[in-house]
Amino acid sequence: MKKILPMAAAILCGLFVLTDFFVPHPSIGAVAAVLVEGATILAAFALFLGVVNLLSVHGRRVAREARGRGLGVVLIASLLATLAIGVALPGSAALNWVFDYVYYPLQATMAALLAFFVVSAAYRAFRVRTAQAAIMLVSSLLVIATQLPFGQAISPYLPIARDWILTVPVTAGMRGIVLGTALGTMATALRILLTVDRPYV
Amino acid sequence: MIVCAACNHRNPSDALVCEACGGSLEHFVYRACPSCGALNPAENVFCHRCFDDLVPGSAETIVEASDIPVESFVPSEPSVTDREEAVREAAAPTVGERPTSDLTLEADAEVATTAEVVSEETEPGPLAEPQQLVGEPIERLEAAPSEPEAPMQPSELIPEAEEDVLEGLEGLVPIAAAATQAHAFALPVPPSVSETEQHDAELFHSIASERGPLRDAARVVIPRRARLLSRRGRALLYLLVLLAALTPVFTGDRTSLLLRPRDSVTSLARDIQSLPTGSAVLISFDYGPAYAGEVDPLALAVGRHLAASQVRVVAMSTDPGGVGLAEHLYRTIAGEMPDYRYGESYAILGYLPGPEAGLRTLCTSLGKAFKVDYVQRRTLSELPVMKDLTSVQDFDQVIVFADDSRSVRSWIEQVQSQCNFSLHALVTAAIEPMLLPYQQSGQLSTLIAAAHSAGEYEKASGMEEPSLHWTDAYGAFCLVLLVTAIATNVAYLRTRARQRSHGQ
Amino acid sequence: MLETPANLLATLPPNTLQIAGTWVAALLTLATLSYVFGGNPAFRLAEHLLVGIAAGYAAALAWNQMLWPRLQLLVAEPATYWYYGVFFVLGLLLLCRGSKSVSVLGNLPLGVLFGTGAALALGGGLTGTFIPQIRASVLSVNPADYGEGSLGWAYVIDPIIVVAGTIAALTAFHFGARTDGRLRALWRGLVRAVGGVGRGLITICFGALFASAALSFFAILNSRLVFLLRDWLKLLYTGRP
Repeated sequence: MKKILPMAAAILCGLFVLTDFFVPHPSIGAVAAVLVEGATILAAFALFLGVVNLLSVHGRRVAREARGRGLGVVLIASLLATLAIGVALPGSAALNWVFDYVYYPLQATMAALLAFFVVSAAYRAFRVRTAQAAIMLVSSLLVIATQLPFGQAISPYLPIARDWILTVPVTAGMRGIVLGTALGTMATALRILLTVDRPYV
Repeated sequence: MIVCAACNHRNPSDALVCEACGGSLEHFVYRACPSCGALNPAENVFCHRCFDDLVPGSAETIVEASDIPVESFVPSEPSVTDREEAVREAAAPTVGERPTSDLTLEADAEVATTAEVVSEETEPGPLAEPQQLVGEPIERLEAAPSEPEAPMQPSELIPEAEEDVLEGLEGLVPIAAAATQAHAFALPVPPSVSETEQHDAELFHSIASERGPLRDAARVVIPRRARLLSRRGRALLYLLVLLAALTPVFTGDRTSLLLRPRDSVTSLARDIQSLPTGSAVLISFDYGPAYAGEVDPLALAVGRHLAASQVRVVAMSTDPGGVGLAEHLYRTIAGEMPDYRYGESYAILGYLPGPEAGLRTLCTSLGKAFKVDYVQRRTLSELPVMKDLTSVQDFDQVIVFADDSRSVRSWIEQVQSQCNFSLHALVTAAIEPMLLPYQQSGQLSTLIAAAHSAGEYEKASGMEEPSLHWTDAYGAFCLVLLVTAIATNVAYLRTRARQRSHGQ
Repeated sequence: MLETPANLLATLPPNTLQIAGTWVAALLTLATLSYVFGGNPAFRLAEHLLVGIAAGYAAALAWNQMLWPRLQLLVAEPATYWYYGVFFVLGLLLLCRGSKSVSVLGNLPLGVLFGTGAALALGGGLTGTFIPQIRASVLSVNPADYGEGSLGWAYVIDPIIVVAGTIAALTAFHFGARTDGRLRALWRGLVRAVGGVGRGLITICFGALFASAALSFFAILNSRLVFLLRDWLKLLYTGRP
């Protein structure tokens, strides 16, 4: 029963939602709409599950007095404080302050660090050891050079070259990747709907 | 021949380790069929040869992977118990989006091995223990298979993966995971099966009935990489990047005068300019603070243009951080224009979790997706700006600012393909190439990489600001990359020449 | 509960919070940037702070936007919104996943989530990506459609590259298989050759992606430097924010 019920739920829900894509019937549409909205509610609960898990993992670390205990305390305190402000004062100046002056600079700077590492990575990637590496080097340099904001002032052909590279070879390659990925995703989805894969049990 | 599931290299049938990538060819615990003796992957329920039952507990023989001399591999598919354990410890998707994942040392190509990282790390990261398993189902479907996990036994015997063109770029090139994803479905090939005729049956049977591992390709052989750059060399590179970024401070950003809007930017500005007063535009801020530095200037330029054109704006986000960003941007615009009021000229509906499912609800009704707005917590019908706007089709234009191609794809797949409207994607430069096919197919009306487009947009819309556009910096950065390319190849040629002379 | 501190903050002189915020943001920016010199306590502190705030912020939004309004509707009009009750119960069952002893109760909501998600992925992928992209790949390779004489031949090159490139890139995804026989060997050789071209094309894409990603990260670095120089140190004027 503990396997059959989830499987039946997955098949039924999947069937209604999938049918809604291809059979525009009001009753099927209504059921599918409820299921899809329900999925967003469950997604919100999944988020809370994550928070609970995060708290328990770091709570255990703090309780065990393991290394990094202080950092665990910082994490838990910042999580709970933000959650409290967010729930009690949604859209308030206090929440905006936390977002603007703590969350934003932290996450933005984390990403900014990658500017350094990407050049460091280029040092390895641009080493022409194989034909493929040579192709990659040429393609990277061409794209970056033609992307220059003042490219047109250097040569009117630079933007044309950029457009050609992006709209012909890159589009062709990307379409292959997009189709390959879509096929893979659809195959996996089908396996879940046919209960060949049961990641939920 | 045995085909490596990780790199597709063909190896002799008795090979245990892939000749090309060093990956183990013994991914599974093989189960010997009690009837015919054929070896089956552990996931098989029935024997691939005779279709006899392989239920555990019967008279089967299990050949443990540990019996096979494998040099180094990470077990591919977590067992059911592992999976349950992982799900129990799972972090939520948004939380699990490890903000620093891009920053883990594997992103840095110069770091020797993840094994080293693991051993060097003195304290676990904040998300070190929880695994990202639960959450959006589609997230799992598309789970990047190439996330490295801690290796069991890093070995010196693994050959250096010199051939891999993407070496060191795993965390930096966004599509790398997607491109290799299809290989997740590559078949597990038993090493000792030599009967060719078994293959077709195995192929069919594996696809049809194998309980396929979703994270099959999660096993990663992490070769020991030599450091190419010394600490000093790396410091020099970092310094060059910093100097490139600071160039406009010294040069006065003179090249910004040479800025010319691209056709796509001009076309978007024209589209917005042509909107009659009182029209409505839906803007989705599907990016987080990580990429805000790149996208915000363009979002601000477009927002100012819309406000000046007296177009109603309704903002939303499928990224929690996007709500705060939208609020911040519109607070700035409202501060500049006293007549631009919340609820009348613009509204922020808020966050919509579950990208695919959430966006799908927009097709039926906005009220189904958002019960109240984010700022004033009023129902949508109470907001004057929402007059006559009940579904996504009621908007004149839909603009998506995004830092993740999946988000734009969800907009196309779940909303646009069902409701048919004009969709503009203004995205980070990092994901622009991934969306090119959608632009070529006409599914995206506009596709613009944000990086330095704000200045172009201001020019195209005639709302130019007397501000630095940082264009000199991009030129300098281009030079830094060129210098890097030359330096690395000179060093490489020198090393080779030295090796040759030693060989002689 | 939190109203009082909020009111207290509102009584502070104007810009106090903004100035304090700018300093906090600048120090956190520097702490994070310090990672360039290697892992250090300041970075780890920033990292943990970020994870905590990001999780708390997302959870607060999920509560305010998704759960609380629907809970209110359910309580106010249970006959109309009864299905919210069903999903709230499922949601609570999902939370059971957090505990070992009752984790099995979470299977049912996960089944709903995976079933719906898989159907959305399948339906959306088919109607939004697969069919339109296949359709967009069907381009005419007849020079006459693009112009007369040599002009047509010049213009037909691009569609040919797009069509052939798409096929080649797709072929690069082929899955290895052991086959015997000459015909099969010939087929395998053909697939390998076309796949090789496809891999070359995909490499071009990776090159473009790498360059674009570098540009993105550099733009983000610029924005942080602008913040430090303009908003914090007031050393720079770059127009309106």
